Amino acid sequence: MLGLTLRNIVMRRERAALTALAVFLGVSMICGTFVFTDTIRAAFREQFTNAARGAVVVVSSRQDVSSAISAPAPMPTSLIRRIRALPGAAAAQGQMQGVATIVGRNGKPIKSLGSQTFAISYLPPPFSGLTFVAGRRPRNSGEVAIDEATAVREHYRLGDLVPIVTGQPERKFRITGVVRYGNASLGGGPFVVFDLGTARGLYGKEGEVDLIYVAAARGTTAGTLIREIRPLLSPQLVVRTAGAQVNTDLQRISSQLSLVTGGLLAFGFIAVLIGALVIFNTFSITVTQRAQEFALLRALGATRLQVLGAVVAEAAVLGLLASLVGLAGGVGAAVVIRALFSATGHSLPSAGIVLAGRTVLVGLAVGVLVTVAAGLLPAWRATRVAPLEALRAAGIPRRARAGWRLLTPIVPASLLGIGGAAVAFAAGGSTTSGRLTASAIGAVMMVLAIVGIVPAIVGPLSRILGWPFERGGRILPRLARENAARNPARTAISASGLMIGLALVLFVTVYANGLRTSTRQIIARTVIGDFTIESQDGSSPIPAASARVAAQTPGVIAVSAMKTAPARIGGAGGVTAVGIDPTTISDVYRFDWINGSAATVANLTPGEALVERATARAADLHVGERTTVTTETGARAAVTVAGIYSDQALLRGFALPLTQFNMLFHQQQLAAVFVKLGPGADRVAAGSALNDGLRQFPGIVARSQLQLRNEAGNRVHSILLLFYALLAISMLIALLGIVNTLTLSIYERTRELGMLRAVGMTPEQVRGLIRSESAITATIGTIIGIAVGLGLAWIVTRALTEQGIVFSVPWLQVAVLLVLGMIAGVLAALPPAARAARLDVLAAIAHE
Amino acid sequence: MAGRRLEKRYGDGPAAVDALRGVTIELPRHSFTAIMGPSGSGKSTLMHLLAGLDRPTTGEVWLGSTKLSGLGDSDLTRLRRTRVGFVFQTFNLLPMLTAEENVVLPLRIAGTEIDAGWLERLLVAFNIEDRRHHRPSEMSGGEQQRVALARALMSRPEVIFADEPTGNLDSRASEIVLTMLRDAVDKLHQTIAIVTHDPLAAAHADRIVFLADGRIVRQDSSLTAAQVLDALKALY
Repeated sequence: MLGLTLRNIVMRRERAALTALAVFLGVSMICGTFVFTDTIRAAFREQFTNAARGAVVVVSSRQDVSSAISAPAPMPTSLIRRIRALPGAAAAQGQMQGVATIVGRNGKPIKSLGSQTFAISYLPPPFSGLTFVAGRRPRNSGEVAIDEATAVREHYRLGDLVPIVTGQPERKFRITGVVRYGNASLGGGPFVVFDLGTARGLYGKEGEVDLIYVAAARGTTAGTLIREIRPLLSPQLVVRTAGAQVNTDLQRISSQLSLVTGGLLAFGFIAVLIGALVIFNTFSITVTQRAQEFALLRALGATRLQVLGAVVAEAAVLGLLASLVGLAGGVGAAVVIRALFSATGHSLPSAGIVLAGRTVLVGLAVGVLVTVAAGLLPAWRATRVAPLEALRAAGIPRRARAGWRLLTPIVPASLLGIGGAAVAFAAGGSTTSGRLTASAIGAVMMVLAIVGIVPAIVGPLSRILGWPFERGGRILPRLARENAARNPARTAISASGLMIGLALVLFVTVYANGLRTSTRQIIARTVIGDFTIESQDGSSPIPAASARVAAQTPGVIAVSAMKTAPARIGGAGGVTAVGIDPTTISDVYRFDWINGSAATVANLTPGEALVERATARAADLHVGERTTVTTETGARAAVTVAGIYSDQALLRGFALPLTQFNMLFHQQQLAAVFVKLGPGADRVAAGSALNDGLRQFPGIVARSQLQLRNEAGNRVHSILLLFYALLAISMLIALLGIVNTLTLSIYERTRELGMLRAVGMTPEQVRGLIRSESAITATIGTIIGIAVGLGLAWIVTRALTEQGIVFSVPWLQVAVLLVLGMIAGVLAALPPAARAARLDVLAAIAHE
Repeated sequence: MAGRRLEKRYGDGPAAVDALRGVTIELPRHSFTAIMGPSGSGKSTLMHLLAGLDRPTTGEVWLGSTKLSGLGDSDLTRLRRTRVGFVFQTFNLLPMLTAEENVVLPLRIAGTEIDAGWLERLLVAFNIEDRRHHRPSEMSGGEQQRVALARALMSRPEVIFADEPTGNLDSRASEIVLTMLRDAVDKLHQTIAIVTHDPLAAAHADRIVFLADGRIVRQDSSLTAAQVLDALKALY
């Protein structure tokens, strides 16, 4: 039977290829994501492993590795001397580690995906796997060594002056060395190396270091060394083996990549889901067409199980082949993804491509299992063919059962839909996340329900769509519509891929619009300063010195800086602690009070906290209650909730007075600086003066309130574009599904087309017929997709109303999508229509 | 309608098959011709050539003063729309259209005006006027073939070709369809040619052309079914 299966695939190459293409694209996306992130991780692992070379254990600060605003605690230099004195330690050296920005040849800061640019201090032997490719180590405050990848990309050479922003304004350093880690190829993120004294000065950490590398004495194990060191450490510090330290550092990379990884994977799975629909439809149709073949096999003595096995095996072989090619495609996709990020100005490690066993396993498993699962129901239907049907003419319509078959999916689908709606609406969960989860479950159930209901509305919907074209008894639109509605289940699944894709596009659009609107409204309501100094990307920390620039700018009467750090308050972890200056913040920022007043912030003292509404809800905090703030390094402080405010844009989490914030956290950099001008000051002049002053901090800008609002909108927009690009792949798969279904349907209707040509239909009319049928199918998918997308967006935004996210229908986009859907349908019809028009009339009439 | 010295060769080289080896045939106006012969005798090929569905290797096909062998594909399509009618063994009605819609389908495709009086006359003549709003799946085979006949006649073609029109029908339904074909010639003044295996069908024809091995081996006018059977026996 397996031989028969294989021969079947070979004989129906074209169909098999189309089916496999859907699986291939989905598997490619999933594998590409894995390969992409594995490759980046491998490059960083190599960098980190080399960085810790020579060390057996590493002392570092406790740190929230998942946070981009993490600020680890430094340690006193005296600790190095005490560690050196330990019997188990052969050597110990301290290292500075800070965040820097290298300015490229084009004057723009070099961005890096997955990691910031690190500034480290030179670590003398026996430590560090740093290899000097050229030159020597930096020896004074005017010198720097830079990594080879950056030097190559930016054409920086020994002796060149390179502008670098550290804790200080931009300064030019002379390149004395080009370095790499170990003997590795170009890998990891960009970094610069200063000498220890220079690094301390640049980051204002006199008498301190960030890391201590320790080598073990002969015969001392890492465990022994750790036990010796541990009693010397404050609770904020931790000692780990070098290997554990590498893994901790890698976690930070992973968490910074997780958004990209998660997004790519999610879209990969959506693509596979749509691919499954395509496969299901293809197998359903081919099983119907091959009814006689199965009947013959049964008549010749094949058991039902053997017939089932033959079809399932066909699916499995197809899935396996497609997944294998998909795996290769994944490697290609990883290269493409990397090229895309590089093209958008992100520096990326470029080590060799990593194809992990997990990637192969997941890729093959997903591809094969999805194909087999999608082929199961059609395979089961193949076993229902009676042997007697081998003797009968093919294609006997079983009309009586059609109605019943149509009804079968509707009943469970309706129940599912009602259940989903109930979950979505009745979920009166007190927390936003609870309601969001309920909404998501409800939404998925409703989408499934809708896929089940679509067959029932294909007929009526196509009648409505066709009506304007069929007036005056025109026959071609009529035939196209009848063909589209002839097998509603088939058309429904064919349209479903497009439906799901478009629903997601619209959902994301509406949701992003709501987010953009709410962010803009929050900024408009709360920011009363004239300018806000922040990093170009709006989220990276900025040097503390930038606040001084603002204070010295003419016309400025108030400056209020803000710091942020990861923290926990009461029962709510992973929130942001914001350090504010209670004496100046009221000049530039107006709190949106839930419980409190201007006096609350003006009188805010250490030991008091203002809590944002969502965090207060999550931690169940009320005004007057006492709670505990815990920093990432484990430091704790008791605070009283003084007020509760609402702000989901700038001041999420909770706010402490800066005096207390600085005692608790080790954050040196600022999050943002709000600036207010005096009455009558020239805003334009002040704005350009401010930005002139900030020129020494590349990547830092002063934004007017309007710019701040627009910038927030633009950021949402660029994420939106990425989503669209990924969804486009899913849509492509959906279109392949339409092509495939149409091709198979035409094959089924060969004789009919032959008759039409015989009675005088021109090839052009045949093409038009197929095109219209496809356009109808696509339009049905588009319309339902738009309806579902709007519905989903409505449900989800409703769950998020308290965050100010509003529901508004983007009519322009809806119209554009509708037109695009129809065009897509016509495009998908091109190959099958050409094939139908080419049909030889005689052969078609004689076709069985 | 006439075919002159028609030859048709499929394939080339040693594997080539000669389906027709020089057939000259005339289908006089208002006549009913049956083309008979064993399987592989070339009877279907002959019909396809005459109907403009296929092109002869050599020879000419004339419909009135039009030479079919000189026409391009679009002209042939137009000719099939207006001047030639078809009836197939398997009826070939569109399942989603009603009987009446199927009858007027070729005119709709051509975008020509529909003669309501002629439509009524055909529906009555083929006794399907009360089935006009039914779909093919709700009709018997005989009824479906009568709809197909009406469809072929709807554009008042100069000639109608029927390929095994009774091949899928039982004897009663066959008899009705054949009588109606006969009536179409006698009362509606049509020209009809059928390809058939069925001696009973051939017995309704004015003229019977026997083919064997791609050549006309015998022509008779008005034979009985028994005579047709005898003639066929001689061929095998």
